[in-house]
Amino acid sequence: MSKYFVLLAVAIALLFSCRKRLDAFLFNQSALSSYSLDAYSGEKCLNLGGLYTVPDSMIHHVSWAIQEEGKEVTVHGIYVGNLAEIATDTVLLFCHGNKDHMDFYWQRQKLFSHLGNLGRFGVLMFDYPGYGMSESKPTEANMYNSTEGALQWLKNHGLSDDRLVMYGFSLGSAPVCEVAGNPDQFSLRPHKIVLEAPFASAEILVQDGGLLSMPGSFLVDLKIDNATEIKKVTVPLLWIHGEDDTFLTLKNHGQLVYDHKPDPKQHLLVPGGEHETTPYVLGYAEYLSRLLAFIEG
Amino acid sequence: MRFLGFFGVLCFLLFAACAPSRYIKPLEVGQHAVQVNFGGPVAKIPGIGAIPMPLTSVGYGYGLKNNLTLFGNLHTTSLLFGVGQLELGAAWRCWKGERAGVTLQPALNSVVDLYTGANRFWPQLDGNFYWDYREIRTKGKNGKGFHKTQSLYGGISQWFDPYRTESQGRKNEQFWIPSLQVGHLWERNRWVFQGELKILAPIYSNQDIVVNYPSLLGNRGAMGLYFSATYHLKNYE
Repeated sequence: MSKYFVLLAVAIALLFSCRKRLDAFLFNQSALSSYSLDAYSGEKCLNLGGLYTVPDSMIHHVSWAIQEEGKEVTVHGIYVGNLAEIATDTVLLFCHGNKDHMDFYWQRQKLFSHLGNLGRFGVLMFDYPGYGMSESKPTEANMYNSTEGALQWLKNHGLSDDRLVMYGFSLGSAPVCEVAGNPDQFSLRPHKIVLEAPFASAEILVQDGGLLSMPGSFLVDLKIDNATEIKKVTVPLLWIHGEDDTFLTLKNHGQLVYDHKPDPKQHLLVPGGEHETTPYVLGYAEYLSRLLAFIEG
Repeated sequence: MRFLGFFGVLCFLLFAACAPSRYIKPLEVGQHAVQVNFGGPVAKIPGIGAIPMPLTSVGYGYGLKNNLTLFGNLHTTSLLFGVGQLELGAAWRCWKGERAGVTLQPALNSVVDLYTGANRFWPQLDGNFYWDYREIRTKGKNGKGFHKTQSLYGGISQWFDPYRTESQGRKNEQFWIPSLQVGHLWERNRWVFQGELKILAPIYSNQDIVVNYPSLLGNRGAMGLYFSATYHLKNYE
């Protein structure tokens, strides 16, 4: 009998020695060898139906390097606008969600580039490490590092705090809250922020999924806690959320973040809107109009 | 965020839905037994379909009295996550008829993050009715017998989450998490094989969370499929 217990003890020790984490499930990336943008034939975040086109002359493929454990990692981005005017333009930095890559989110960037009118604001989007052409694997830390890379890139091109608006969709709400809540640790401080369908925290994701009130550390090392970070944010917030979002629910996620945000803040709740369909359900023109009013207000 | 559905399923099954009811029929007095359990909630995995999750636990049982078995189980899947989950309990047969019985299985699930020390204690109370619908006992010329019993059972499994608040001060609205189960036991000499179908948390919606649970009840609860094998060791009494 004793040998079986010894074998069992060894097996248990082996199990314990290689701790598994579910952090990777937060990231749902796909790698690309090149970006196709309008020619992309895969699933897209929105269907603009041929509207809100952007001429090639305004599309710039950009990149910057970040450090990851002593290694240089290249992060790829798309800037829509005039690079020479970043020093004078207001720029929207779009932090996309957890899905695929920039080709998937390109429709949103096109929509943003029509805020006011085409090219009135510069729009920068980038792929987190592991997404699209960006190197390495996605982690919470390098998601923030790549965001800092974007801010540094914008600063190098002449952008100042008062002309930066950050927009975080879903997973992208994490880097936006991180930057806005800890501006001293980043190259730029946003003037205003927009959070669309934000999630409250990694722990709430775990508890929502598990029914039981379990600590997040049981399953993940992720420290993402937008509901806490937002308490430190003093710049104006626009919170957008679809009332029919069954993935990151309005009550358990967005509302919690919004309630914790000190004034000034405003919200735009969209009846019938689901996790990714809010601009479509609201109507693209109305969506842009409301966004523009917030940025200019 | 499609893969997060799977993530949510994992959260649930790792701790609260990873095993069938224990010792539906208590051991004989002085009997020792070891047990392995396999199975879990049925999850829709993108690109694969609906499958029961392969969760495992190992356990030990001891017949303190003919109607009372003490048991302990270590959840090996949660151990993979650096979380020790030990389930200590008892199976008490409170009623026994000629070919049927009722057993209650109170247990305490102690769950500790072995890296951070974060912990939870979740009491559990199962109740099952079983019916031996087929029993064969033979005795060979050498005196060694052959014993085969087949039983059906059904009952309720209840988890209690006594923590009043969740992350960010949210009120915990799931104090009582019941599940319903039906199962079958195949007893053959020293072996007992068990298969069980559970309807997990049928009073709770499976909508509006980061989980995609297929369920017999549509938008409520989830299904679980479980298997276990118990081996009765030599009786040392």
